[in-house]
Amino acid sequence: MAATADIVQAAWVTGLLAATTTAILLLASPPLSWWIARTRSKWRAPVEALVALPLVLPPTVLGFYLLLAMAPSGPLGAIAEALAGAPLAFTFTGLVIGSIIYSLPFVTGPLASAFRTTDGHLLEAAASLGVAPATRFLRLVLPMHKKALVAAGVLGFAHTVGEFGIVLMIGGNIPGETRVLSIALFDRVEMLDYVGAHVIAASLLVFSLVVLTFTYRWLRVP
Amino acid sequence: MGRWLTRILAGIAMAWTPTGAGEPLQLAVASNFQSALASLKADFPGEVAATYGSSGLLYAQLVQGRRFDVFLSADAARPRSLVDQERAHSPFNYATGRLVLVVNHGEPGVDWLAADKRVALANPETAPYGRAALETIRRLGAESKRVNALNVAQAFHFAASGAVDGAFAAMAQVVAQDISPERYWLVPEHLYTPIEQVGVVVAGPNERAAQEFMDYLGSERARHLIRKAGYR
Repeated sequence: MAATADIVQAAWVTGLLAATTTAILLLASPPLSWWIARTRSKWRAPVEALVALPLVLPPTVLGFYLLLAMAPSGPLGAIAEALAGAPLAFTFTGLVIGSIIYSLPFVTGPLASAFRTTDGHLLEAAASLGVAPATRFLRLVLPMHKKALVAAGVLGFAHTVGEFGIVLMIGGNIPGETRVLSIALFDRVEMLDYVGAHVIAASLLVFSLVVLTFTYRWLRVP
Repeated sequence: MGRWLTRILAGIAMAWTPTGAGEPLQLAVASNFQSALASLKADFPGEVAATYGSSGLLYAQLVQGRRFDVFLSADAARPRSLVDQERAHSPFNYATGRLVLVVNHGEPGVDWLAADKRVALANPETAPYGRAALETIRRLGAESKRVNALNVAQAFHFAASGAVDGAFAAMAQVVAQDISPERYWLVPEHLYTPIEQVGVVVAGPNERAAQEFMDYLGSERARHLIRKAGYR
């Protein structure tokens, strides 16, 4: 059935988008979160606010500006055009960029909170033994906060799966490239295909519930 | 505290309860017809309130029990389905949409489409203008890279933002936005199945007033305003 193939394809795009976004966020967020957790710079509050913006802004606001930025005349679009010779809006790469911004607070926030609880004495001891800062971070801090890292990753992934507003604005609903499940669901409703809509909606609901349940359970295991 | 809350809630409930007489006629209107309806509303003697949206969403809301008195769809299928379900009657082709190609640069037309361009169109699976645009592209054998928008309004926005080279839109938008003639191409009507926009009177307490509005839509005065807004 064509409709089922369409849903499977949308599920694949959604999974790929969430996985790519989460992978990039798990690389970029720890240093940023560490800085936010430890710094005494006057820039901490503004940076933290900037990171948290997607929590409070309607995704359509982000999408509206991202579309302008990704147009060939916009800053991001111009960079993409120069580097890859291809436009950014309505591409998978464009969606990844949007998702990174959108899900950033969901990864950076929990990590920063966890990092704030880091035992300072341990770090001082390591420093007095001559362990370099980068090594201290990689070998001490990150293993200490393994659970927080996993939780942040899961939240980032789940939140990206649930993305709608930004994709609506910058996605362009292209099958196999930017049509994600939330958009496919919207399409089904518009097409009056309520069976298809139920399939997608229920899958997303069950997926989110199961993922969150397992994560919370795992977090409580000592 | 609890008593105040109850009073406030009761007040809100009262304000929301339909009282029937003297209420404006509730219209569910396909978004592409927004600018046309603005001038019709000003001309129509009665009081009307319009909710704009895609025909699919408005249809879904109607079926789920939202009260509308008139449904002006962008297509013919959804009104027909409402008539089949006996939720509505008196279908009437109140306007026929005209498809245009709006471009950011270059000369719009068949050659423009043949070049390797990115063009936005309303989702062909859900929006009548998108369906017509896709038919046009297919019939011309154009190789344009297609970007799907929710509806013609978003297709137009994609082009306006500069993110695509051009967009298939409704003539009504071109008229409303006052786009200069060298920037758009009125797609010849033999290239796509006519975009017949059908309206229905929704069964319910306000049927008579609704029928009056539909009769008005068929009047020469209203026809003139609708044509001026970019329809046929």
